[in-house]
Amino acid sequence: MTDNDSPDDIINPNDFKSIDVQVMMINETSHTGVMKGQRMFGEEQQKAASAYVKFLEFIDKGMIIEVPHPSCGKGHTLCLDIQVCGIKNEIHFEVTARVMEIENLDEGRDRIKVTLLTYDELFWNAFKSVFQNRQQEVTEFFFAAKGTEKP
Amino acid sequence: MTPAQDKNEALFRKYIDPKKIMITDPCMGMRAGLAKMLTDMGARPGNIKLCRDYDTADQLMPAFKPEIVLCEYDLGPRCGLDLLQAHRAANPESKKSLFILITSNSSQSAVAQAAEEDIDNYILKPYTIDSLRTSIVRSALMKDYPTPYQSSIDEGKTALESGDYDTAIATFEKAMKLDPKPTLACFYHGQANLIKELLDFAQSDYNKGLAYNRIHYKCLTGLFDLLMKRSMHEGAYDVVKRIARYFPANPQRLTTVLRLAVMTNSFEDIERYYQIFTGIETRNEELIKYICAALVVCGKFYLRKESKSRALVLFDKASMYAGEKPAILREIVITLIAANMQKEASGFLKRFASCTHESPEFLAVRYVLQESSMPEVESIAEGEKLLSMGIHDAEIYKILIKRCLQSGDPEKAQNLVRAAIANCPNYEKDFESAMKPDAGQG
Repeated sequence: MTDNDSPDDIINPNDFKSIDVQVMMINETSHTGVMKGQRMFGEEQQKAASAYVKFLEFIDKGMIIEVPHPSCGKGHTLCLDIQVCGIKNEIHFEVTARVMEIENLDEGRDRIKVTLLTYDELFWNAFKSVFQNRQQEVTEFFFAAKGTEKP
Repeated sequence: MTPAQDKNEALFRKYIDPKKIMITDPCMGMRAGLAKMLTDMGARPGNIKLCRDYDTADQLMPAFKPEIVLCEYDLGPRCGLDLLQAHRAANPESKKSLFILITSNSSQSAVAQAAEEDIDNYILKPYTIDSLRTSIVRSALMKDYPTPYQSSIDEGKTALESGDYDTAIATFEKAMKLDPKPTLACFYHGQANLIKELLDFAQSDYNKGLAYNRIHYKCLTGLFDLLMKRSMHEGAYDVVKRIARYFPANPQRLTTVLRLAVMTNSFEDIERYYQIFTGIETRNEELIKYICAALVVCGKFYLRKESKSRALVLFDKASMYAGEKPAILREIVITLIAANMQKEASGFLKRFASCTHESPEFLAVRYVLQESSMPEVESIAEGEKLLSMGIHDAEIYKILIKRCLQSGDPEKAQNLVRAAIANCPNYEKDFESAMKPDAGQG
């Protein structure tokens, strides 16, 4: 969104796009995986609606993700392929991480906390910055539009 | 944690302790994580309800009456803003409650829509737990411990709602001195002046507010409504373009942009809007209808300017999206016939979808296009048949009046004029001029 008076900005298709994070996971300890709607058990692949990984939270040098149950155990090493779409310069990188905590949820899902083992700091920081910067833009716009103070 | 943060967390703990909380998110891990965080911050687990979708939350809302709602924007076919409306409807005290969107939807359209509503904060996923905690605490404390500026505005609003406009104006003036950029106070001052019909003062208030903050939604919409009320369409068009640029999600507003573009003869703008419109994936029916109608009006303008090829290009674009909207195609065909472009009109007649071939619009324009090659008697009989089928199209009446005069039956023509005016009152002058002595000669 720009601030000039061109009619081209009145309907801007980019205004309807959202940032999307896609995560694929290989459990290097158990040789299983979750990617693109499929669960992998060694050589075997099974399609499943719940075969997706959801990125929930950033933590210090790690993250909290939601995965199908069961996908991993405490102490397992995961290889995570992370792709950030819907931004001008898409980010795509891999990290390895260790499972620190597992919380079994209903509905066949686990919420797991992982800490990073090997990762490219440049990519990881760029990944975090995408959301921090967008949050800052959103907050500035949101409270300016409302005319109230930022909390 | 700093001492200030410690103090805020302690205040928040006191604030949240008795509060009823609803968390609505399709992602179970998210619901669980948010509930855990709020419990850590002092919420009672028994006071927290978790909902996986809109319907569950909507059903629970009237009885539960939550005082804090944390909600995802995207809830399947419904959105978090729908839940806000349900919350407002279910609880008269809901304005005092805290409603925060915590969402993966980072699109400008979603943020802008939320900013138009009384949402307290908009937090993007994924977040860090510290940033989320800080945002929630600050939003809650701002609600519970408003600044003197906010308190004055609330006081003025109460006076405004009770009809005490002079007190309201004095209170908003007091508020203006309490903030370096008192946009909201300017807006409400303008509202009070508007109610008192002091339109110049109200307009000046909205402009003053926008000078402090050019994207203030309430001032922009207030100014737009005021300019429309004063029939200042050029100014209103400029304002609504600004609104639509900053707040892009509202199809109703885009249709207003198109309507004002037509009203202000900004035809070149319409062609550009069309180009951009084609790039949008989510177009609703109303927007399609308006863009088609605007293209037709734009095409008519170029026909009047003798720029036939440009007009045909615009009609072509409109017809591509008109699909099953016979009214748009009818307008194109009638316009082309009036411009003596029968061949082109026949081409557009073929674009009516087969499912619309029984529609009044199709039957009427097919008759209008074909009747000139019919003998007088046959033309009149066909036209009357359509009228008897309840198809009261102004063009059919115009032809019948003309044909009756040609056949030397002015009495029948006069009866037709009366029926035509009754059924199509907008064309009264056209029908009356069709009765003039030279009208039947052509």
